[in-house]
Amino acid sequence: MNHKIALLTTAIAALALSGAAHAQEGVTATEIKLGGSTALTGPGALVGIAHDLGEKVAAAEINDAGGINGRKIVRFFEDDGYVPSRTVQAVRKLVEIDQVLGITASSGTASTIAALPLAEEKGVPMLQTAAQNTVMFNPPHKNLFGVGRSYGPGTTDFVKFLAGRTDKSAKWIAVVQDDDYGDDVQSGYEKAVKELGLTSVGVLRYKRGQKEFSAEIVKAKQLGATMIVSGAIIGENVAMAKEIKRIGLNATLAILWSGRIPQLIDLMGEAGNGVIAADYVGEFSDPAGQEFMAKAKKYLTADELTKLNRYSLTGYVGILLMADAIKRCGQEVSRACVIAKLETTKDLSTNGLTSPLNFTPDSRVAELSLSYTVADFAKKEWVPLAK
Amino acid sequence: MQAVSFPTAHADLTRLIGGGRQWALIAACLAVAACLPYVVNSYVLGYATLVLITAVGAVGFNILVGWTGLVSLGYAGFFAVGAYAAAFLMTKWGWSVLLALPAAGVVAGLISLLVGIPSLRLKGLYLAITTLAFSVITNHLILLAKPITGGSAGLRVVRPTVFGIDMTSDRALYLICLVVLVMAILFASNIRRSHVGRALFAIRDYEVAARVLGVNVVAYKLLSFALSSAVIGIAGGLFGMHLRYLNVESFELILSIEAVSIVIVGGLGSIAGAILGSVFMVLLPEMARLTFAFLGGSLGGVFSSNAQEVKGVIFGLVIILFLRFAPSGLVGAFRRLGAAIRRWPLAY
Repeated sequence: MNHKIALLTTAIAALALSGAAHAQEGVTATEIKLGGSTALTGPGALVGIAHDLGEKVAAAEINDAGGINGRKIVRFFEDDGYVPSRTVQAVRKLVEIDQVLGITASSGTASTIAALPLAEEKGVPMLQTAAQNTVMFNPPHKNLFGVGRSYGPGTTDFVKFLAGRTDKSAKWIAVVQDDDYGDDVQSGYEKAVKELGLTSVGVLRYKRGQKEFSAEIVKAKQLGATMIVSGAIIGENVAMAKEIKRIGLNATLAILWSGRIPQLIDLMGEAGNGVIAADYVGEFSDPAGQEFMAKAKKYLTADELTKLNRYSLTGYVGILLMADAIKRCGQEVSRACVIAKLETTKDLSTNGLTSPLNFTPDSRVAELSLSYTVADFAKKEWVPLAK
Repeated sequence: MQAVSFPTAHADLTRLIGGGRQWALIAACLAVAACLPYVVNSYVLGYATLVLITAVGAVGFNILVGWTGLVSLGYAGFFAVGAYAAAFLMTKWGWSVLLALPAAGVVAGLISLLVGIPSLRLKGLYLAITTLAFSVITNHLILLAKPITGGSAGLRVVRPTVFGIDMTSDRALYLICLVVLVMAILFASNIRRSHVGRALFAIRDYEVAARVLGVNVVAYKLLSFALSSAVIGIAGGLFGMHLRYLNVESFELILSIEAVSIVIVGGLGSIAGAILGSVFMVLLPEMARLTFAFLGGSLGGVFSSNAQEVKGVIFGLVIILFLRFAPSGLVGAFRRLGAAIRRWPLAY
């Protein structure tokens, strides 16, 4: 019995030690701790790994230049496999165990919303640079800042751009996901159609996780569509492009930035030739993109370089944004100060990778302007289109 | 041959928990569990809460799989039904958690009859596929029922106050989960020692003989589905309160497979096994992470950057090793260890 009491006492003591309080909020005299939680394994790894690598380049570049007011960035990255319940635990670890100052990456909409109550409770600033679903920012949350382009207005701008390059007799159709993201895209599409008086033959909604799109594309053909605005992500766009080619539909597929990665061109093959994409980050072939690649070659391994895509640029921009806010806090850095400085970010340059970033106390999303590219299968890259 | 003592008195057969030693062990565990939220940080507390919630679900799942012998992959579906039911009642209708959780159990129990009734003649793989289909259908219905579930956007869960105690505190939630687990254990223990439990065991061991002996197999199978799902649904309600946000991605098929692995690793048919299995499987990834971090170097970063893949490999290995070397699970292993210690240095 005494032995069992001794064991229990030891167990309680060990657990008590784990509860020791830490006074710092991710800041020491020489370090600033930043954290992120995204999918480094599983289907979302294509996005998460690229984002992580972009952040790595930015952090290394800043550290090489002396850090932020003399403090070097130390990053903590967790794999949540794109599952919201795992994101909550990952963020809890980042905040409680790693004691990070801010969170610069979160998997997606559901993961961000799941982790938000915890981050709000602890006053941790959070960035979301990869997804801009309205539900995250409406109503706005004090500690959550988004960078990118809202899907609705972005789709409107995209359709207007496409309309400027298309014959007036074109017949338009939108294929969107049956969820809030799809709602945003659809509303943007319908707004553009109404404003420009375009001929829309309909909006088709597909189920999340759907892999096969023959029904949707056949329907588009029956309706005589010549411009297909896709609100899909990655795999769905590949399926659509291949189906368009298979049935011989003479239509242009236009996709949003979520799927604009080099791997998509490989997957679509020749069927992807001529697919037009909109994005708020530039292309690696741009001058700014080439400057980023030069930095990436300095700080990443050869294997890591092969995993870069547009999400690397969003990760890079996220670190620049956070670093700028931290820098403006001077030596007295705290989570509350970083949030206050993020709110007043004005015309922050991202080295040409995006348009300048702006936030206000009332606006938690830095709406960026779009650029447009077309898939070139022969070159295996996205070629910029003139505006 | 090892001598075993069998209960010979009616009191022994109907006792809820056996012996003074077991009561002392349970009291000690409860004392440690009750003190835990006051001595650990919220990260450890989060894991402890998850263990309790998983244990509640596992105790319920054990009724169906362990006691009735019905192979089920429907855990994710019943868990989701309970989670959304409780979340909807608390968040949209402002119900107290004291009402919402039992209501979630009732809803999950009733829904389970939709699976149970068509599955009465099914066994083994066929039943597993049917319950698997239920989980898949549930996920699709969650997406379709947007006014109730929020669809793909999900549902934020408000933690209501209970007797004036603010439930937004993680500590308060942990204690609620602990109370629910104790109640679930008492509930399951009572079923086990009652005629219901004996009927379920009879169905599991030899359904034809049970029918011949006058056991209403249809009624007891449906009862097993309902009771099991009700407890799982309550666990789902607690899960929603823990996360404070529900999304269909939290109820993927892997949840059902994890539930099966928990009851197998813990010890099929045992309440203690369900709890031990929950503790083991929930903490296994974290223990692996700490081990990798302790090893340091490049291995230290492996878990952080490849957590889900490493976790998947470890889970698979653990299940294979247990099925091969300890088919009676952790409970069986502890019993053998205890017997070996008591017998030492004798072999028998």
